[in-house]
Amino acid sequence: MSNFTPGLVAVLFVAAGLLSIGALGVAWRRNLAAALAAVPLMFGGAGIAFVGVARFAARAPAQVQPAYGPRVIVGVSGPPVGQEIAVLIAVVSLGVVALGVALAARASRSSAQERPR
Amino acid sequence: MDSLHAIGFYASSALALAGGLVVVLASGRSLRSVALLVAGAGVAGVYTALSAGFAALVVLGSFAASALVLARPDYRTVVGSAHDLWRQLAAVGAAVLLAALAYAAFRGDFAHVAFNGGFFGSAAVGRLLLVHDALASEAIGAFVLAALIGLTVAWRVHDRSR
Repeated sequence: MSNFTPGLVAVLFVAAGLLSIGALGVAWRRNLAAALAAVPLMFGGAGIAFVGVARFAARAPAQVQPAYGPRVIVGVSGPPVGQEIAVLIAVVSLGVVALGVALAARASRSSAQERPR
Repeated sequence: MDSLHAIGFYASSALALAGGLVVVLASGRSLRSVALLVAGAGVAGVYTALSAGFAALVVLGSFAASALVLARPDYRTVVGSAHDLWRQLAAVGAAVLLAALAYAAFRGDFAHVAFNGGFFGSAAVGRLLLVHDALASEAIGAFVLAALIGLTVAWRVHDRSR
């Protein structure tokens, strides 16, 4: 079972997939609503990468002296800065979508007013 | 990470990626919103499997709010005017981005450490958000507030003009 235990590489694969799917949606779709719907996917992929690094990466090495035997060096995880950035990214994602929808509503209104009758 | 967390991670990853594909490929507005909600549930599941329960709650709320906002039909007439060649080049660029990120993740040399944080992590994240990086939190809060005010004004103007 240990071969299937996800590590940082698996997390980064998922993050890269989600980020690329979002980039594809933003770049490929003509409809502004569809392009805006892909924005949270990109931000979500970035957030997964940050959370994965916070979960698996070491902030600093530390020496531990066990009761018997030589000292060993272990990795020490710091404060969850990656989780904090993921939270901020999620909030920014909502703000970007709201701003985009507001601009789209304004653009659709102005285009409707400029339409010849 | 035990077996339950591993199964949850892989299932949530599949849910997030499948939901993301449906978001990109779906043509209907309601289907797109539901798929965005499903993708958000998948991302939140990945966060939960990575011991970030508080961030999972926040990202689930963010995806749900985005799906609700995008479910309105106000912007259906707005269509981009980019040339087909540029769109195809951008799609190829997304594929190149995926290949580059996957290669970097595969070839990277990462250390493994024992995670000593809690499952939910709200206290530690709250300390970081409200004490250590309070200015960044306030700036992002101001940005989201401005965006929501702009959205409300745009919707009110749109409703009055009907």
